[in-house]
Amino acid sequence: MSLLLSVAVASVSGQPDILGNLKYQTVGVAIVMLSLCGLAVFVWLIARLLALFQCSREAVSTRKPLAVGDGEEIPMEVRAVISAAVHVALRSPHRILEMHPVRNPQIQAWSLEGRREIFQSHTFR
Amino acid sequence: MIQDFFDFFKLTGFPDVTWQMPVMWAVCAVLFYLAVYKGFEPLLLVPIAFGALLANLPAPALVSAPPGPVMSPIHGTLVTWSVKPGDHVQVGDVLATMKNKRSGTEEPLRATSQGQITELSATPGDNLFEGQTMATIFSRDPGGLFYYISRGIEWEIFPPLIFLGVGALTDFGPLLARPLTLLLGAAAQIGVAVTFLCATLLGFSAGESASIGIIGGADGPTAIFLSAKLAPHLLPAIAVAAYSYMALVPLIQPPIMRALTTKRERLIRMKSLRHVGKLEKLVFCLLVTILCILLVPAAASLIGMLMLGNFLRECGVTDRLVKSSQNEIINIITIFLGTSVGITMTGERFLQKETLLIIGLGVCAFSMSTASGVIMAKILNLFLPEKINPLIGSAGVSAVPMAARVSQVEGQREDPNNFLLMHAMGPNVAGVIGTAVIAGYYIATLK
Repeated sequence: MSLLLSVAVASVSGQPDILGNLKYQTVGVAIVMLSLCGLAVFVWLIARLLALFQCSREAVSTRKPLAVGDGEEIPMEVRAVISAAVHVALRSPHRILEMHPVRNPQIQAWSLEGRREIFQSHTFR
Repeated sequence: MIQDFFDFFKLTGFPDVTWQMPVMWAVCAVLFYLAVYKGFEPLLLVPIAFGALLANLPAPALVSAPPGPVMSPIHGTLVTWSVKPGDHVQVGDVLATMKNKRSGTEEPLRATSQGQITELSATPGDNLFEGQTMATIFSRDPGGLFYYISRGIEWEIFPPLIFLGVGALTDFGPLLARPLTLLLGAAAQIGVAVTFLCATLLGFSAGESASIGIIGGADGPTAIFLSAKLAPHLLPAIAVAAYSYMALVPLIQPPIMRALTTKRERLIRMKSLRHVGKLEKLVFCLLVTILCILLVPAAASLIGMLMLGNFLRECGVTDRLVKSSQNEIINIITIFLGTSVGITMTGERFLQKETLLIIGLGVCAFSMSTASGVIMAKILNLFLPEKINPLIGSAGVSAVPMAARVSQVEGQREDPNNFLLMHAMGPNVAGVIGTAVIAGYYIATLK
């Protein structure tokens, strides 16, 4: 590649003729093509690797069922709503291990969560 | 009393109006018209036109450099001085005449700052290297506002910062979902190369030709970045051509796309793109940064900032930084970039036959880039089991997302239920990377 490049540079600086310029441009386009081709291959490989990794994680996660704490039955539709809310809040891949009702109704769990988020994103001096 | 009025008139700017200035006011009026009433890239054309208007008013203090050493702008021989110690000079006054060693022509050396000549450190006949001190100018004037704003282009600050915003605004998901579209972005750079050849045939130097050719990349910041390095004297014409043609993408591209494709090809429907995860996008940012900078270190600032902006966007934990990059930073820099480019559009620099040639070559660059993207898509279809719609090839020019929208519109013209937009975003963002790579190649080999 360095040899090609030096030939190309010499072509332009030494002999500014059409053939020299053509050679120079051919090398330039080849470099762009090869680099983006290489990038495409890397991207494809990464996608394949991540897909394999994802498959193995999903296989593990399906083994453990969702536990519902305190022996209380949570209706299926409430479970679905909670799962959707968790998905919206977290986005990243996750698995819900347990669901249970708030033991002390005086504790406003979502209010606490809101405060936690604010403390996380602001610096106090 | 009449004499007093006459004396005051001499102090105004009217006596300094040259013939080029009213012509440039007309050029500015055209740019304002295109931007304000036709909506051609108004975010950039308005600041450019306003900067150009300021450049063509007799207000040299606005662009004057701070006083200090006067350095030789070229490698050549000092023929004669036009000033002597103690003289007062204004911006644009001829200080000396120099003979360019490379071209053999005599060129005037003009003052870029105003003040008093305190020392002449070279004598006629001296061989001077570029950057060698020739004289010293003293003044208490610190330099004009636009001198300082223009440093953002000269020191290569503005284009990379624009790229930070572009990265924060761009979703590389469609590209990652179909990596093959990177080839369409690469193919569009053939137009840059062909225009380079055309420009050299018309007598432009290699650096100038590269700066003109890059217009075909349809990437304004890269065009400014490259021409500021390789052909700063052509920067105003190249910037105006690049941004005007980017605005004209919906007019320039469709006839070429239709001419190069059959109805059957335009009707091709493509499979929906798969979902691309966060980790994949983050790894891609790091991969492009490392590979592209290793390959073309000269484009490190462009690629680095583009990928930083995108990493901020995709990592999901820097919301405030992403919002700043997408809004405040890119908006402020756009104002400064536009006015700095405009301020270089003085009549003496812009009203040249080269400007017309550049504008003509710009069309050639855009058309060739569009055509090469479409042809590459057709070539790929010869080997692919799942055909791609060749209309997305034209989006290989990096006018994001306008070129992708053109592919969508052209596709729907044949089949209203064919949605090509997301498919076209792949080559579109690949074009940004491809243009940065070829710009890096030109800088590395020609600077």
